[in-house]
Parts: sequence; C-alpha cells; structure tokens
Amino acid sequence: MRRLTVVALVLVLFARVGVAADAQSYMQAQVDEARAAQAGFNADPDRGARFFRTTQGEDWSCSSCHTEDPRQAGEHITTGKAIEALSPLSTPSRFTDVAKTDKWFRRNCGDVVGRECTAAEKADVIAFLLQPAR
Amino acid sequence: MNRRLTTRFAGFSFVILALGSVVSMTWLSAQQPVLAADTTTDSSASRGDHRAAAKRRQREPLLPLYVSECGDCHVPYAPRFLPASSWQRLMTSLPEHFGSDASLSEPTLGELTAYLVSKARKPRAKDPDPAPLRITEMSWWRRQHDEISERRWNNPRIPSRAACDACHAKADEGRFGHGKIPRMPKP
Repeated sequence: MRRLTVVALVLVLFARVGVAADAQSYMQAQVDEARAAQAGFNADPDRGARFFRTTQGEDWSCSSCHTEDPRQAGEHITTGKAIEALSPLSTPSRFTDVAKTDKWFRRNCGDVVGRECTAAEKADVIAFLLQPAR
Repeated sequence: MNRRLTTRFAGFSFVILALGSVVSMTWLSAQQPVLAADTTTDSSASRGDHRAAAKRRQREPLLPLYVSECGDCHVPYAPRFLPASSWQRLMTSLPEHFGSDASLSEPTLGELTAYLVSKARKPRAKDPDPAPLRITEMSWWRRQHDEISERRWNNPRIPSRAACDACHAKADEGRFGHGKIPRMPKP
C-alpha cells in the first residue's frame, strides 16, 4: 500500500513537470540570457507578479486582459474577446510554440511597457505564471 | 458457372453506372452557378447571380492562418466586409492597430495581405471615400444595424460593436445570417 502511494506521488510529480515543461524551458532560456548581463540572476515569481499586475508606463498592464490571476480566463480589454487562462497550469497549450510566445511577448510588451521586454522580465513573469495556487 | 459469372458482371456494371451518374450529376450541379455567373449580362439575372455569389462567399471558410493570427484578439472579420484599400491600410499599420501592437512577421504579413486583398469587397459607388479602417463606418454596416437602439448596444453582453459574435453565432467562421440580439439581463 505504501509503495503504491509512492508510485502515485511520483506519477503526479512527473505529470506536473510534463504539463509545464515547455514553459520551464522557455523560462530557462530567458534566465540564461539574463545571467549574461547580470551574474547570479534568478527568476522571481513575486517580482513577476508585481510586473504583471501594475502598469509599466503605458495605459494597460498584463492584468488588464489576463486578469490579476493568470490561472483565470481573461477578456480583451477593447474587443471583449475571451482569452484562455495564460498560466500553463490552467491551459497546457500555453508556451508550447516558441514562435508564438515570442510574438506575443513582442506585441504585448509594446502595449504595456512601450518597448520589448528584457529576458529578466520575461523570466520573472513566467515564474509567476508557473506558481501554483497559494 | 458461366451464368453465375454473367450475373456478377451485370451487377458490377450496374454499380459502375450508378456511381458514374452520381459523380457526373454532382459535377454538373457544381459547375452550374459558376457558368451562370460568368456568362449572363441581363440585369435581373445578374442580381440573382450576385445573390448566389454572395451566398458562395458566405460559405467559403476563412483562411486558417488568418483565423489563428487575427482571431486571438477579435472576431476574424470576413474579408468581404472592407474594400482592398482598407485592408492595405490596415495591414501596413499593424504596429499601431487601434491602439494596440498587432505586428506580424514579414512572411505572415505578406500572405495575409494577399489573402485579404484578393477576397475584399468590390468597391461600390456608395462606399465611403477614402475607405475607412473600421467596418462600422461602412455604409452597408450602418444600414444593416440602423434598427438597433443605443440601449441594446449598451447591453453588457455586447462588449463592443467589434464583437460581432455577441449576436452573430457563426461570426468566427465568417458566416452572418440574421443575428439574435441578446436580451437585457434583469437588473
């Protein structure tokens, strides 16, 4: 019985890692890039949360469309179009296509920050998105 | 033995004939509207053709690349809603697309511009000039929505006039019949 529990736990753990594996590897690439500029950089989910929920110089924040809780579905602020939850923990297809991820970071950082995001900012945001419910 | 073979042969050729006639009938019926649209000059007939052509355009599925690239933020508006000059202006100003950065990679931009321009509305005399960027500024759109009161538009289930799908259930497929206007939620 105890062995069965261990096996089940290991399976759950693997499933969890599998779900967000693409997001993890995208984040790792950003961390590596950030470390080139800033030695010892580590992605920080709390910094990511602050960045995500507050305006960064332009009219909108990430949460304007994606809501303050990225595990929830959002809505485009002007057109009202439904947006699936951004967190890969809720929407497994998120971050599975690198070109798509790059495209959306480029566009949305333009709207929110008025420039492209740095690797450090992207790493922080993904760390926040991967954070399980607290 | 010989007789059995003959029966089998007869049955086989019947099936072939039946299949052949079905195929040719389908082919003929598929050809008909195209032929009619190409050859008629009479005005009453051409109005009918116009309607048939409009119906055909309604049924034509949207380009999947268009739906995936543009449909994330808004209804993938049917290319026939705007004239080519509108699409050209829209596609050359995507980094500032109604206040939002909607830039595309160079190959995608080229492919989608060609698609939209090729399926665009044929310019008509009553169309606004210069061609607008907003579909809601087209006279056909205004005419078709003039019976909808401001109170209806303010219904919270209609997020904006850009959300065709609030009333037109198949808007995401580029198909528009008469919409079903959502009722005002009870206060």
